[in-house]
Amino acid sequence: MLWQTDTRAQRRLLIIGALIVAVLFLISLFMRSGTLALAQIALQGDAGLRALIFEQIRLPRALIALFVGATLGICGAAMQSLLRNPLATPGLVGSSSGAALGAVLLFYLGNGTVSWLAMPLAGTFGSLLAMAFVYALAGRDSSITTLILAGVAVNAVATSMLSLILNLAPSPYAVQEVVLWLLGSVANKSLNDFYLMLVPMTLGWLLLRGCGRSLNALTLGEDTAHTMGVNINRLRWRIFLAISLAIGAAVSTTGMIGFVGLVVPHLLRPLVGYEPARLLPLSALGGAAMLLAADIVVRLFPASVDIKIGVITSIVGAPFFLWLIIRTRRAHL
Amino acid sequence: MQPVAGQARRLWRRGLVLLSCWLCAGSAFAGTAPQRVVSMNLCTDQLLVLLADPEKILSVSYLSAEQHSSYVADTVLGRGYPLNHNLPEEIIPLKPDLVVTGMYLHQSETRLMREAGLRVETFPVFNRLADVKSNIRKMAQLLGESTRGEELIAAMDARQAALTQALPESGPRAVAYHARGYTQGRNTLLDELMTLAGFHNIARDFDIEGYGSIGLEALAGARADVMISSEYAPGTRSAGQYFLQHPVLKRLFPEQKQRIELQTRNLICGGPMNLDALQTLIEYRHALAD
Repeated sequence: MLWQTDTRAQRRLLIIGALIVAVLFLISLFMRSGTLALAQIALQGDAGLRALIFEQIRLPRALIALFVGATLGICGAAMQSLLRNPLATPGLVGSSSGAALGAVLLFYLGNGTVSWLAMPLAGTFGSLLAMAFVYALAGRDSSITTLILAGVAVNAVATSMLSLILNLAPSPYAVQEVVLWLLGSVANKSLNDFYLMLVPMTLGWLLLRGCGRSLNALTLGEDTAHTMGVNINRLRWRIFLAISLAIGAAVSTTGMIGFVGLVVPHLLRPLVGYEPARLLPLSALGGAAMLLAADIVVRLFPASVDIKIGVITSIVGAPFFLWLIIRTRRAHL
Repeated sequence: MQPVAGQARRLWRRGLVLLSCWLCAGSAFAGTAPQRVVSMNLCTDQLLVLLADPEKILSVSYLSAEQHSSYVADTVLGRGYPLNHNLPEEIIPLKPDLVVTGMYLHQSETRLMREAGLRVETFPVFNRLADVKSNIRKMAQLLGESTRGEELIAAMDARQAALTQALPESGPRAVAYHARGYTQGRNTLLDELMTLAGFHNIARDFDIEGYGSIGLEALAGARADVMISSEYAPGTRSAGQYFLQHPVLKRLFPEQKQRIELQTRNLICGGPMNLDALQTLIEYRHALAD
């Protein structure tokens, strides 16, 4: 094999990553909310109420941040490895905006109480559709530039459709919820929301499992990978489907949270010797850590200031993105 | 060339404005009450419909025909008033001699219509029943119907006095909790109605002035007995409305009698309908005491 996987180093990295995630998860569960002086006093000595807050507010919030962060991280890594492009993200090829569009269509225009159960599925469907559309638009053997341009076009259509639907939705609250879908939020979710999200998300993760080796081969170029027995076309569709399932579930629960999928794989890639098979699981941990940390920062603001989590990830992510562009430009010169 | 032409045009326009102002001032000085009135705002719509002779109303805003928002929707639909969408180009051709609207909502439209020579009267926002009554008085005076206005206010006072007598002791702790966790604190109409009905408004403990929000965790610790909400558009869906189905709220207010639903149209604007909301609150007080 070309790649001599250093299993001990990888295990050490994964353990450190898992420890960081665990610490952040615990902080998220038990942190004091800044402005809750009154509630804190009232809570003293009421175990039932504490349990209620813990189970129905803190736990879903931390779990959703953990799982959505992991999904964004691993999908970003898979996308960058598949397209062999450092700027690729699940969002770039339309999957995030497609997922949000699917979920919004069902949620705001659907009627009846059953349909919100199907939200992750609608997200998945929208995500897959948008991604397939980008792929078809760019053509099978397209250059990366064409793919990116096709992604930009599909993203623009999907996000403007999303705004349009929220404008047309019968509910007067819908218009103001554009922010929620474009920036994302993990606040005020229930355990039910988490369970609903979990099913398609796990399916997506399982599909990504075992892609690592093929992705490793792909780093040597498509022809070489082909001679090594990798069916590129099948690999592509498998990853697209996996990302659609996982991102569809994530975005339909939290909205589009930007930059996690872009930044995390870049931060971690040097640590794993640029090897996709090792990058994927580590990016999951990195994404989870980043989103948990962002959610902790969100809650440091007073409760009356409703900062969306995507604002924090973008404030960290955008400068990084700039730096990345500058660095790649230097490398090409 | 260009500036001179522009200046001439401006002068000409100003002349027109002055001329039309003089014309409408003339009609006002003639001592006649406005005969052609247009309202552009849900709240002025309702006061107008309550106080003006039906034939003097030229148009009201489209919101006043919506059942969930407007107390006078049936009247508006029944009389078939043309509905406007707050657009000056709809209103100017009607040649009204009075346009009434809110003070803060349609500022640029108001300015445009004044420049076109219309008489536009704006009404301040209301936070308390006293403000509501002064708006009723203002509308009645503008329409030359002061007696009608005073009668309406007297009827409101009498109804308020009748409702608030013999209230059960020891008010329950209540929180106004609407879609997305919004609440009303001090200096809001709902706070005043809650206080009149003998509820203690939790939002006051959080020092919320006007509109604000209370997080679920904070609410869980605040020990409210009753949750008061008013759904602006029943039957529609959004993340904000879905939020009210959160399991924590179900656990905090498990019983039907712990939830009070007020009709939005009784709260969104000032008028006699505010006392319908007060009556609902007080009926719940009596029911809770039983």
